[in-house]
Amino acid sequence: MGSTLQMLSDNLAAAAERVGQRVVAIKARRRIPSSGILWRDGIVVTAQHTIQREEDIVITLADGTTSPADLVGRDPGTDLAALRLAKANGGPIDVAPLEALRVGSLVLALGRPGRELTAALGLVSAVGDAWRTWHGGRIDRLIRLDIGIYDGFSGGPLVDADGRVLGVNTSTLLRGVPTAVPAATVDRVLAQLLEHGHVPTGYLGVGMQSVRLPEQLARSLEPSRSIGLMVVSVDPDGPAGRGGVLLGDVITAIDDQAVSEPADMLAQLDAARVGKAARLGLVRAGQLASVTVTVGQRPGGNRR
Amino acid sequence: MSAAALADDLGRIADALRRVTVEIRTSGRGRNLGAGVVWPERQGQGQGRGRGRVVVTNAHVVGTRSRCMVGFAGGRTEEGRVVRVDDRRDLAVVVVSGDGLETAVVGDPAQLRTGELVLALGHPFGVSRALALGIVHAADRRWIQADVRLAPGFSGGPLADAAGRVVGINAMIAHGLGLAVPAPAIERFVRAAEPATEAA
Repeated sequence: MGSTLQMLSDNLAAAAERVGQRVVAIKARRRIPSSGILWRDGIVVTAQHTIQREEDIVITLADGTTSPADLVGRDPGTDLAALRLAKANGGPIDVAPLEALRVGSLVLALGRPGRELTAALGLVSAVGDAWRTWHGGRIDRLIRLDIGIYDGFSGGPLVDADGRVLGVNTSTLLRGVPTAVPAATVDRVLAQLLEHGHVPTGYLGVGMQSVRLPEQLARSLEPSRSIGLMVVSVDPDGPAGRGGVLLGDVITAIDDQAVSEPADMLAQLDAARVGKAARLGLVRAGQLASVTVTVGQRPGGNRR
Repeated sequence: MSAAALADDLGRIADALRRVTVEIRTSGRGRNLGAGVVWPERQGQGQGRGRGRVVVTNAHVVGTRSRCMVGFAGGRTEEGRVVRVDDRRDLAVVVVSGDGLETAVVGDPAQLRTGELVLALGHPFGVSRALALGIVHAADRRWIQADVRLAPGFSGGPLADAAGRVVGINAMIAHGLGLAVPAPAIERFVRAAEPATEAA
């Protein structure tokens, strides 16, 4: 027909077909398979929460062939997991740059919850700065989607009208609101999963809870702040316990970076801190104090 | 590709679909409002001033009735006769007097590609001839699965491709997806109803 509507329709179908070649079905849970993306030769990326068993994982490729796959690792922080399979080529996937993400862009969510490729149409409803998930994972852009969530949504690619991959879809990071983990984050996390089998995270070995500081103390802090993190449990053999942190201490800073919520502390405890000394600013028995601890690595990685 | 041109195309196709979409009303116990499509009586009959006596809809729209009220795009209403019903395929043929009604241009759902645009027309909650836009969710031979937001009242209405060709009629909503009976199944059903159609 040559109409604009027909052109858009053809573009969308072509985008689905093109990226659909890289969308796989993963049998790692009961009932309906989940979706994954052949991100580069022999590596499939998916949403971590859809991988419910770590053995006997079978992947069905777009051409219908099946292949056993091994779990490389998973990162609950970003809800990403990587799988390795023997024969699956195609080179690196065609990814859109972060700048391509614009509010109002038409997007497709592709999936393969079985043999057939599935697609949903929606749009990018909001794009935000880098953010931290409630599991402490760092995501390079907040991508909020206005799109229907169907079987196979999580773990499938978010695709623009030109057939470029914007990210990996997931329904669990944003309280049930459909979102996507941007490709830049996928590349970063994938590199760590391939190297370590998990995303290394710093570890102090304390349980913390936000508490209000007495006004006088709050004013004496530099910069002044009214909330600190009370230590409500200490692993005596953990980095903080060995460094002399006591139950009831209120942590106000790590290396002069203010912390007032557990998430602030998690944000500070990235892989770069592991094995390094950190100075914790404290309120102990009503007085300002500080202790130096050697940040450890979260035991057991992030496998669970 | 401008948004204004898109809107124009959508409006044009929606207008064409409205002309071949009817309202089907039943009264009494379990009364219902659904949609129907004026279907070409002979295979390959193009859109235009055909005889336009055959309306297809869903079996669940007409239920067990032998008659229903059919409302046409111009506002005219007449009583139609239900001549054939298949509950399994959720199809029914209703015969009207015709009078030069425009008939749908029928498309081939086998050509549909996952991700391509589809349009649905129906009467959601009594709103006459409302348009919904979506895409083909999955290629399936038995049902066309569409990612399109349907509501009660879309039943029996057309599902069309971006060129306005009717590829099926919407029959139900499952897990948020629209499921449509593909045109070839409707075509066979209409052919099978021919003796009853002729007699009516």
